[in-house]
Amino acid sequence: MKIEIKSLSKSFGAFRALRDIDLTIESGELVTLLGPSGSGKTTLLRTIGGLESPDSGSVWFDGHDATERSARDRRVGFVFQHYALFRNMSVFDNVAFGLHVRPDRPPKKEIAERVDRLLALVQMRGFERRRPAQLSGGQRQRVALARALAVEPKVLLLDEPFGALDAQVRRELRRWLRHLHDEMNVTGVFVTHDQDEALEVADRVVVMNKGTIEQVGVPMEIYDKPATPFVYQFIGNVNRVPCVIADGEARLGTLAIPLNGVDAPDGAHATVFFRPHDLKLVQTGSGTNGIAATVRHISVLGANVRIDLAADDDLPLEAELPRTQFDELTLKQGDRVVVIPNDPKIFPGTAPAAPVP
Amino acid sequence: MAAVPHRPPLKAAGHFTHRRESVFTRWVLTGLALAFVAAFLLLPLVIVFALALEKGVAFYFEAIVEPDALASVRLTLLVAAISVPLNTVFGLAAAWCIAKFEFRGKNALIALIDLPFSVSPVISGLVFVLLFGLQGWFGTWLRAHDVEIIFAVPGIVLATMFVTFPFVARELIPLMEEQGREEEEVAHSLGANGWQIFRRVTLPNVKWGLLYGVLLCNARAMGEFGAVSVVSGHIRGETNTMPLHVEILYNEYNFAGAFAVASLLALLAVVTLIAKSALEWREGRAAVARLKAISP
Repeated sequence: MKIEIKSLSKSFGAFRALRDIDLTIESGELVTLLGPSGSGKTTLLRTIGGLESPDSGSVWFDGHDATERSARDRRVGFVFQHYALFRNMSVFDNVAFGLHVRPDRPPKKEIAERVDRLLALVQMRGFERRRPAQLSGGQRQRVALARALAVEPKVLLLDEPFGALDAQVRRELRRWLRHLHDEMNVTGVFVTHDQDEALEVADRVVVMNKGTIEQVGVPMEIYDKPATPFVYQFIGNVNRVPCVIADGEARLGTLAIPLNGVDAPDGAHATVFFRPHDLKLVQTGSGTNGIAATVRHISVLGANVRIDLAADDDLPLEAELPRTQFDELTLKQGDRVVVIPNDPKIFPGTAPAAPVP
Repeated sequence: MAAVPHRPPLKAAGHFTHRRESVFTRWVLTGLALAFVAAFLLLPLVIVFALALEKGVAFYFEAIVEPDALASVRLTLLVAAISVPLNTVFGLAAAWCIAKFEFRGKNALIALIDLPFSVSPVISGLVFVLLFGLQGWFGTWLRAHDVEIIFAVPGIVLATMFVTFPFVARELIPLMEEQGREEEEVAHSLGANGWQIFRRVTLPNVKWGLLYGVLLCNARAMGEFGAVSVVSGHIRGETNTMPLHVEILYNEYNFAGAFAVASLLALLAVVTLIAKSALEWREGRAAVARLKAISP
């Protein structure tokens, strides 16, 4: 089912959770809403599902206005971070719930067959008679997923579904969910504050901040071409260096970076962004232009090496190099180096403090 | 009752092993607590039964089956049978809307529910007299329409309901708030209507808490004295509940009779206490089971 969100706004008292959101989600797509807490991603999800009603704007399902439709009639499946399994029912009754409460309740045998199929799908066969309290977190979330799928929803809404699980289980379930989604014809919306999860699971990522959408794109686009400083900082690690515009260029140490269409007058403040892995380090003395810095700390992270640097005005920088490249440089703590960004991006203005992901 | 200060650590929780208090302190504290319980709870209970049986078992049963006594038992049961179910429904409704929805005036409503706890029962009864009594606001109207409230059963029911109003709601609100509304939201999105959500999800989740609240509500409804005393009029065999009947017998120096009826109320208290402990024990076991299930 295709979902269209048109100029949606929602406030809770004085707090503006959503500000004039427009978004289209294609049928069969799996989209993640990514942002820090308070960015409005969960409110947007709940509004799509009909658990919140917007102050203004509309939600359209397959070209029909569904804004006034109750959650009961939207055919959406919800999966919550804390599972929200019916604690007084067995696994079987949990999954069968959506079939039991239907006005046209299927016969008992058919319900049993469908529950069995779903439990097989989420690899929970044999747990029918257990209570939710007797399952692990990962098992509970798989039961919650089976329960949501039992009513054959057109839209699956997942609110940080793996947020309460430990890292190992989370990674497994993430892949498994992606696989499951590919097999079923369902539109999925997945809320998370974990960038790795968002990039791995999604067809498209919607980055949200303070109730607005910062950028929509496929994962690679979001990572390689962040549209705003916020996205640059929120996705992946980034070095931020303040600079001043002069003669139509950004001056960074002895480096001059062309503005490439960025609208900033001479004398204006700007910030240069570049990724720690997207730069070159050379020993001082080779005469290359760049940012002069001192090596503060070296940590080996498996195949890569992370080098903490301090530029001459004590600005911390970070570099990440493959082992082979690092070995050639023969760096040690206290060495002087020159940092040369490969693909720096300039945003006008001084950068805000990095958000906590 | 055997005091066992050297209780072995609970299997489910290992933190009982860190005990720094000396044996002496433990004995003194346990002894104090037990002495207190014995003096203020156990002793009165024993005396009630001892005095009730003072003139022999035959007299005891006679005092209970005497017509006025039986009438008071019937009235007490009737009042409880009306006020407890009504307050159960009200308590559920109030707890539901307070725990599951946000609305203006919520805190005022919570404070109002607690009102009967903070007002002296005598005042509660007096309020109804001022409202429905002959000199009261609605007195003339009621008399013109031949409706009796004060000094009649309706007044006793009203006063009892007012006093026992908070029990169920108070028990359920924290429980429901802790459980949140996600289960209801899921049920709603799965296609359940309001009644189905209530019957299949909300009610089963709070059933033990509800039962507990109803038990306490019932105990108070049957035992209420002050508020009922003001509105009852003390008409023997007609508007005397058990606590009022006990008072009348006592004032007539019929101590054995008074304590015989009182022993029935005491029995009710004991049964309530046992049922309550059974519920708590059951809840405790469920909590331990949950803990065991979570920790690998």
